[in-house]
Amino acid sequence: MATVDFDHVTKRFGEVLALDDFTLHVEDGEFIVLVGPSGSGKTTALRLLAGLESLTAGSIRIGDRVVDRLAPRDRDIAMVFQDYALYPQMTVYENLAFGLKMRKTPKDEIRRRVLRAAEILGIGDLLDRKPRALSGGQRQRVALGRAIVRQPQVFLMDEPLSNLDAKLRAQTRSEIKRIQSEIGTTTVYVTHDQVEAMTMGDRIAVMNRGVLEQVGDPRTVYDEPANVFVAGFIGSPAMSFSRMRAERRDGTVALLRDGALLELPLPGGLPRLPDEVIVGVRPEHARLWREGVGLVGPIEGVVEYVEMLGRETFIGVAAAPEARFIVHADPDARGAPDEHVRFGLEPGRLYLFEPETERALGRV
Amino acid sequence: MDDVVAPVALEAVRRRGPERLPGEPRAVGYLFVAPAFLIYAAFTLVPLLHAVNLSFFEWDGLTPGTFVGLRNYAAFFTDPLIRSSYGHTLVLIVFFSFLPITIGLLLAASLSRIRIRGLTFFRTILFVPVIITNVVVAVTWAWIYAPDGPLNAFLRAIGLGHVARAWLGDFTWALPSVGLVGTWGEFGFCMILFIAGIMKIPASLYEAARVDGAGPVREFLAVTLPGLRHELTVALVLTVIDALSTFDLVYVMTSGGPGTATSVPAFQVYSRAFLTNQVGSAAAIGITLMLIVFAVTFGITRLMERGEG
Repeated sequence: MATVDFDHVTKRFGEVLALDDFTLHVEDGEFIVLVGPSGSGKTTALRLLAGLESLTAGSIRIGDRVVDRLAPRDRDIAMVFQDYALYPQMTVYENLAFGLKMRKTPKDEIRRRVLRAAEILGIGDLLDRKPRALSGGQRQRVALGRAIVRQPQVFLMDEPLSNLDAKLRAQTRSEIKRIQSEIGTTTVYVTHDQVEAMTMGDRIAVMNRGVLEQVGDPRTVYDEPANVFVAGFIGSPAMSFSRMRAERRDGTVALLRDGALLELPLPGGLPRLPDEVIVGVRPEHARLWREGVGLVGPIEGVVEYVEMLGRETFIGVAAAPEARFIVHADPDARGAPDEHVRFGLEPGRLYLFEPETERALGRV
Repeated sequence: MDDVVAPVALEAVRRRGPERLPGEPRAVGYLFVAPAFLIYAAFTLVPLLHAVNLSFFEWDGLTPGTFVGLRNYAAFFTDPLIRSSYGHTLVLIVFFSFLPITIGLLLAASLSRIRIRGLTFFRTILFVPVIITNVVVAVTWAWIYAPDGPLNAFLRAIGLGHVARAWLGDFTWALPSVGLVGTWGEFGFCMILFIAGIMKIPASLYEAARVDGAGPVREFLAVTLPGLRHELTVALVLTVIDALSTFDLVYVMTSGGPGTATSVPAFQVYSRAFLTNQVGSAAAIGITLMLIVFAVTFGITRLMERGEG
């Protein structure tokens, strides 16, 4: 087990800047998730840590060792690949044992570790099979097992769940998390799925276009997004954004747009507001209008679509051409496209962002 | 009403026979195959059957032949010339198949691992022998091997004059000399086949091996070689067939000589049919050769597929 440090790491592929001055400290035993859309640099960061790419600038440490010039095999890491990368001609047992064999581990020690890993993962009865005779979920376990038997300092996982179906993914998610906390190995986990990030990570690092946008525990990143990108990326359905005029009044702030006026108490500590702000609202903080429940509004709009999820319903409402909101409603809420609806927002839950830099200003 | 309709519908389903994909043509497909089949029949099947028939006769190509049953085939075991030609073929398999596959593997593995400038150029250069007509290759190499040819000149120049000899006239060296030309002609094909195969192996497998601690050799053994199973089968089948059916190199370079030192079955077919008027025997050798090619191909394919489990 070890800490991991990315120290001002930059990676260029020709003209493309894949990772830009990336600095991140991972605690010993921590489960950190790098999350972001395609091209955000998350996989590049992982591959640099694995030694599968060379650094353009900066430095990476595992524990106290600078690993910049070490071959992957000398970094004491184990990696789980998106496509599992199981050796097709080897049995499950041989797949699990391969890395240990390469390290000249004694035979009985290999056997002990393989059987132990197989037990943890519940694949003891598959050891004689070849990968092609396994289901996707079973292959995934073998890939995990191959990492576990190595007992490395760091686990690297590159979207290990993306080839599984939704149900299996949810199940495996909690299992990986459980195994990791049992074994206690530092884990760097890459995913584009913000649900995985939220549910698995001790901390999550949100990345975009090669830049680290925010690091923090899931709660903090969700509640206090650093900028518009993080706010929009984390959370499902995503946060709705709308540009509004902001007027500071006596003890309140008024947000105006297209005839709608939202007057909210001004919390202390909010900096000077620009004349225009980006207002972000999470779906769960926008509800159909009712008097006396403490919502601000109402805002009028036209229903664009209705998503019934059983437990709840989300209604897409266009209040103005570039002011669309997702409104949370009861499961039995009715609504049809083109209907007019009124909804309100929960005070204290409106995120304000600076329109130029898109940085968070605070909540009102 | 339903009671009446249902059996009729069922009947209709039953009568359609084996399931066809929607929109797939029916027997009309045979019509499209017919022209090609007719040509194949006229120029391959009929001559083949004719050859089978001939192989049961002793015939000089002019006078009426005599039926001799399987005697022409029995010669396979008794005629030393036929046996030695097959022996030569075994040697040629080493040169036409094993050597090119080994060289092709090494080149493919290193060319796909090492990043160097002008890779395409090197690949092309190495592939060129494959696309040159065999007769041209044979004429060129016969010149290279000639007593006063470039090879001997080179050997003398570097002080190995005592090694120089008439390569194609030497009883010991003629066969390996012809064989090496085969190696030169086949390895590029194997290499291209293997490079294509390696490109198909997921990069993550190589990366997994590297993270697992495999060096270049183990990586080759654990990832590249198993990943090339199908390409190896194809290369083995095609090169062994080439070795078994070698004719043009031998015909142009040595005409089976010196003596019969480079005589191979296909050359025996030619020389018996057209030079020594033993048409029946030639046919029998040809048919035997065909059966051996079938058997070997089948054997190799089965062998390579078996390990897949």
